[in-house]
Amino acid sequence: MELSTYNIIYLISNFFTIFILYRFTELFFTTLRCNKVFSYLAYFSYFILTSITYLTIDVPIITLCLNWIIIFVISLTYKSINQKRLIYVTYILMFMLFPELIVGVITGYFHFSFFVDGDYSNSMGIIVTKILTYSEALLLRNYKSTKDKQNVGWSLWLSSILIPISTLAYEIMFVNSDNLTKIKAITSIIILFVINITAFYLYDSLSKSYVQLAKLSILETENELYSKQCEIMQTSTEELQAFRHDMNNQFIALSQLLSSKKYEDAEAQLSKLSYLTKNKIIYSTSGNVIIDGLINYKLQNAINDKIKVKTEIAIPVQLQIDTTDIVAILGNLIDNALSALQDVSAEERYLTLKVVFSQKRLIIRTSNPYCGDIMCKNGKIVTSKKAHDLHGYGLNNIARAVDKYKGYMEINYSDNIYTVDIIMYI
Amino acid sequence: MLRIAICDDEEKVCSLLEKHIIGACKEIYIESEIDVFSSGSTLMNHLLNGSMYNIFFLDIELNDESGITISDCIRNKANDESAQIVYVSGKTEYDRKLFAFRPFSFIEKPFDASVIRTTLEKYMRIYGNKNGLFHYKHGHDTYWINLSTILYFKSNRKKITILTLTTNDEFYGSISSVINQLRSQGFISPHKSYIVNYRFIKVFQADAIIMVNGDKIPIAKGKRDEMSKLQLHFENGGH
Repeated sequence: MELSTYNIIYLISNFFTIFILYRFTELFFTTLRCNKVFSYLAYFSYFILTSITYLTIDVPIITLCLNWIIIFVISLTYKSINQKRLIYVTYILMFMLFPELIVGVITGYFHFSFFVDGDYSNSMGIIVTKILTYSEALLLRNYKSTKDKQNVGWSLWLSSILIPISTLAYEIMFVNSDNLTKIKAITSIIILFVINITAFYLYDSLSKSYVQLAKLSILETENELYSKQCEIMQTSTEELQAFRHDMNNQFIALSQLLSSKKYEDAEAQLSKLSYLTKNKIIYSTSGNVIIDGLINYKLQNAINDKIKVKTEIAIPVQLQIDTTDIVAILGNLIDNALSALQDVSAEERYLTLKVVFSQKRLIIRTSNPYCGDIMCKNGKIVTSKKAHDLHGYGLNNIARAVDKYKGYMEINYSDNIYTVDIIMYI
Repeated sequence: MLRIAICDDEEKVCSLLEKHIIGACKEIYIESEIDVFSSGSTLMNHLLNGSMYNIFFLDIELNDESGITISDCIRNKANDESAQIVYVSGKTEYDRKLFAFRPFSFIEKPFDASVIRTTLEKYMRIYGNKNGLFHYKHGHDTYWINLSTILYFKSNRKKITILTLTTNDEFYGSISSVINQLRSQGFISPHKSYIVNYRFIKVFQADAIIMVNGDKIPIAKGKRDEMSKLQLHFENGGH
């Protein structure tokens, strides 16, 4: 049997439907539960079975039931529960039918020149339907990504409409031209579908690689902090050994002072010793490598800068918080405090840092003296005396991370003491 | 009267803690009674025989028992969810299990007097000085109930239900009058129909509070910031 042009176009667009179906399925089902090949086979069976039914039986109600069954079979290759599958498959079918109805209504009412010639009228109807359905699937996907808090740029929204519609418009103009042959028409339709599939495939793989890049940069931050922490531990071990070595001599001196009853001198010596043990460069020893690494790294020059650091760190070794978020919060808080302390006279420099976990909340406080003016605009701090751009930027980053955990931040500056209090629910 | 228990196998640490606690209590005008235990098992025996304390200063690594075992005894065997546990330790790496006992704070050895004072100040800031009673009328009779046994109040139109760990009771009244009676004694109102005892909160979330008995209390949308602010005030104090 020889296929009519209409049938060929139907088959081509039916093949394209596989990709539309894939886009819709993606909306509701995310993880495969079997080998990819089975899933691909299920999709391909959609093409084969619906095509055969169309060419042989072609009764709408049967086609509809068949569609439902095959989509359900496709859904079986994904992880989900059956109740959800039943509902989602029905949704998918409704989404796919919706443009078909609209195009049906419009072509029923309007007669464009290119719809008149028997065969072509219905062929164009199919193509328009498929492209619109594809665009619909893309838009729904964007909507879902936005709901999942993924950033969907306006360019993707725009291209989800523009690419399908503009290629479709071009196609319509093309088939409307004079010397159109059957081959030309079919080729142009194939090209139309291929452009639409590849454009968004390209976009997806690009965005996947961006996500991977972002993950890599998080890993890099983590690695950096780990290695800084190692370095700091190394230095402190060396210092401790030197201190131990020194200790014996100190004890001898001390016992001599005591035996010769020079109690005041002995006490002075003793307080010097305790100062030595307190004069440590490790401020955080919670065992949480990221937080320890960050705090100890940021504060490694505190002694040289004559900053008295008081820390209260009480957190479990593992915390349910993203590395990037905690690094953004603590890193910026400490940076801000250190840069504010540069303007404070050396005797008055101190920094209080508190990171406490209790009842599934993380409570953070930094407190330090500052010099100069802090200006407030709409309850937000816009500038301190120095490097105001950087400060505002840092505070914004902190606020964004705190918001993510539905937390709360409070900034107080009175009596030349600047205090930031943060609570996060994790 | 604040009943305080100290438990550490180092005698010197115990006496130093006691000295600092007595000093701090004097400075901030708290009446206190301190019991010192040099082993975990004696403390646990005491608890199982019915002794109750408001605050425990517990060493995490004792010779005979671990801080986890003693905390488990306080919370689960002696069923005391109201007591506040302060862990005193030379180690700063804390086992995640410790956090499940809702520690009040951690004190790092060596400590000085100011740390002890800060801890007691925080206790007073949240729970107040009075070891108060709550009075309510039921018919013609007046009843009273120890505040440290109340989980939360829940209002239903004109009726208010008092829930404790073991019993429930009802009386006629309004949430606002109850709030007035409970000012600065460790109660918070996350919702117009609820007043919650801070010491019995197991988990804080942005939009709800989970009590030690598993009850979930909603936080009204308009009160979320206020609740976070209040927690920061309780936990961190002034500036």
